[in-house]
Amino acid sequence: MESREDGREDNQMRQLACERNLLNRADGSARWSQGQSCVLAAVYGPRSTVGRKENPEQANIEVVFKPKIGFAGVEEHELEHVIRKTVEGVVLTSLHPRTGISVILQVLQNDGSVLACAINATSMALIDAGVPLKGLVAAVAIAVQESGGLILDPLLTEQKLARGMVTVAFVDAQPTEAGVPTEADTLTCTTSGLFSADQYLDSLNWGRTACSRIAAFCRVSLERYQRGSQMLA
Amino acid sequence: MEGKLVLPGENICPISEFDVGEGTFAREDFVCSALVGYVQIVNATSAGQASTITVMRGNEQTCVPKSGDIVTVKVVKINPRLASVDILCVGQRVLEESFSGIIRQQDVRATEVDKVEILSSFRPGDIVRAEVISLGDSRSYYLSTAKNELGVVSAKSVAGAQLVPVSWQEMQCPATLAKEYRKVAKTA
Repeated sequence: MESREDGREDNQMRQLACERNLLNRADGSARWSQGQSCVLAAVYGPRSTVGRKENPEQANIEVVFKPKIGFAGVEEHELEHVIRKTVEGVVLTSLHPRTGISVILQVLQNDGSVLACAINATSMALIDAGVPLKGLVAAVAIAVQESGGLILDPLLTEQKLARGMVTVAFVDAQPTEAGVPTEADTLTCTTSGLFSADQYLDSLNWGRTACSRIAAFCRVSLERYQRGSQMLA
Repeated sequence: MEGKLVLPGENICPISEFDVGEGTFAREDFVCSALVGYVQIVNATSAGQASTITVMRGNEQTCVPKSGDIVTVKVVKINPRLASVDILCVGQRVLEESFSGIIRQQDVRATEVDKVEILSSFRPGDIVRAEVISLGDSRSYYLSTAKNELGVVSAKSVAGAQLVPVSWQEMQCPATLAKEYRKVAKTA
C-alpha cells in the first residue's frame, strides 16, 4: 500500500491539540489544531441583540469566519453558513430567547480539513463559554482520491489532488451508565467533487469512527482541564 | 453521583428519578448534561415533588442577587432621585465581581415616602443593607431599604470618623459631635 506524504495510514488522523481560555475578552475561546492546520475560535454570548437578529423564541447564532490572509469571500461565507447550521443543531437555543451568540473563527494555518478543524474549535469554545449543548461535536474531513481510495483528514496538497471531499460532524455517541452507547447523530455533512454512493457511505462510516475518537480526545482534554482548574482554585 | 464531572450530552440519570434543572436537559428517558461541570442535587422543597438535578460549572460565580435577597452594598453616587450602589455581598456570600443597583427615592423608607430626601438618607461611601425588590432594568437591580433592619450600617463622617447611630434618622460623629442624617438600619 502506498503511504501518504506524511507517512500516515489512510484512516489515520493527524495529531490533535486543543487549548482553551486563551482570550480574556471573549466569553469562551479555543485553539484547535490537527497537524499543521490550526483554527482559533472565540465565542461571545449569549448576549443581548437588537433589531432583526432578535428572535423571541431562540438565540440567534452568528458566525464570522476569517481566512488566514485577505478578506472573507464567497467560500468563507459558505463555510460560515455550514458552521452556523452545525452550531444551531447542537446549542440549546431555546434556553436563551432574544439573545445572540457570536462565534468568530480565525484560521491560523490552513493545511487541509480546515472546516472540520473550525467546527472542532467552535465546539470547544462553546463549551469554554458555558453555552448549554446537546453534546460534544466532532468533525472530520475525508477525501476521495483519484484512485477511488479514501483518506482521512487530508492535507492541503492531498485535498487539491482529491476527486471529492466529504466533511462530516457528529454529536458524540455517549456511553450511558449502563454501558450502551447511544447512536451518534449526524449533525452536518457537506460534500464537494465527484464520487460514487458507495464511496460516500464508506466515508460516512469512516467519519463516524474518527469522530468518536475525536470526541474521546475532547473528553480527556476537558476532564484534564477541569481537574487542573479545580486544583488551582 | 453528586459531584461527578459530566460533559455535554452525557446521561446523568433516568428522568423518572429527578427533575431537570439548570445546566441539564431531557433526552428520551434520561437527564443529560448541557455543560462541563459537576452534578448537584437540589432537594425538593415540598413533599410529593421530585428532587432536581443541576450541573454547575466549577469556575463561575454561582451567586447572583435575586428578588427578596438581602444584600450588602456600597453607595457610589447619589442624586435627588436615587442612590447608585455597588452590590458587594448577597446574604452571607461575598461576590467576586460586584453588580450595580439603585435605591430609588420612594424605596428608601416605608412611611412618608414622598418626603424622603436621598441626600439626608445616604452618602457616597456608606455601607448599606438593602433588599432586592426586582431585577430592574438592564443596567441595575432595584433595591429597597423600607424596613427597620435595612439601611446604613456603616458610614464615615465629614471629619473621617466612624459615625455612631443615635436614632433611626441620625448618626453622630464621635470626633466633632456633629450629627448627620442617614436612613439608619436597626441592627440587633
